[in-house]
Amino acid sequence: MALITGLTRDKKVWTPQFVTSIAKNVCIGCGRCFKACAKGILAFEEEEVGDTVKAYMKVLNPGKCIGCGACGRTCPKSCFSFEAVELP
Amino acid sequence: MSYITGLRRDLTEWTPQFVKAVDSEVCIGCGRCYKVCVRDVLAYEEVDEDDSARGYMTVANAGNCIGCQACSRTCGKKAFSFEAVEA
Repeated sequence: MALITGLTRDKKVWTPQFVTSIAKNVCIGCGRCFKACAKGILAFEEEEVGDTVKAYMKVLNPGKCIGCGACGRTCPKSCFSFEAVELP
Repeated sequence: MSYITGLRRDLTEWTPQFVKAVDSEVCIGCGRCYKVCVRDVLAYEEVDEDDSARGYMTVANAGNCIGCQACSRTCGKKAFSFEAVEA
């Protein structure tokens, strides 16, 4: 069973960790992950909760993720979960 | 001539743009790129200049770069340059 892999500049194999989800109840909607992602995977959402608004990030375009993990690296709440993906 | 490519989750192909250099004249050494890089590619340097010190980032481990460009996304001064690399 082979996983999707990539090559570093010096041609070492690395295994992309693709974003699977963001824990909505933990996410504070700070937007750091949105700023870090160069591939347009994430989106900002707002939801009315009683008198206030709950802000959080969601995974908008999972298919375009390259698995670099930069979003998770910037997350102060460790909301992200990732997975390697099998080749078909 | 073909370049190193990668696969997205949806199995479409992308071409990594590997970090080539950080322009030390433009870089202000804020360290945002250092924080975002998952691959330990970048390092912080300081040089003494008269009464003060100037901080800037350098490419310390170029070979470890995966070409995601998150570093550039966070760069307030657009100090980065990139290149595709032949396979």
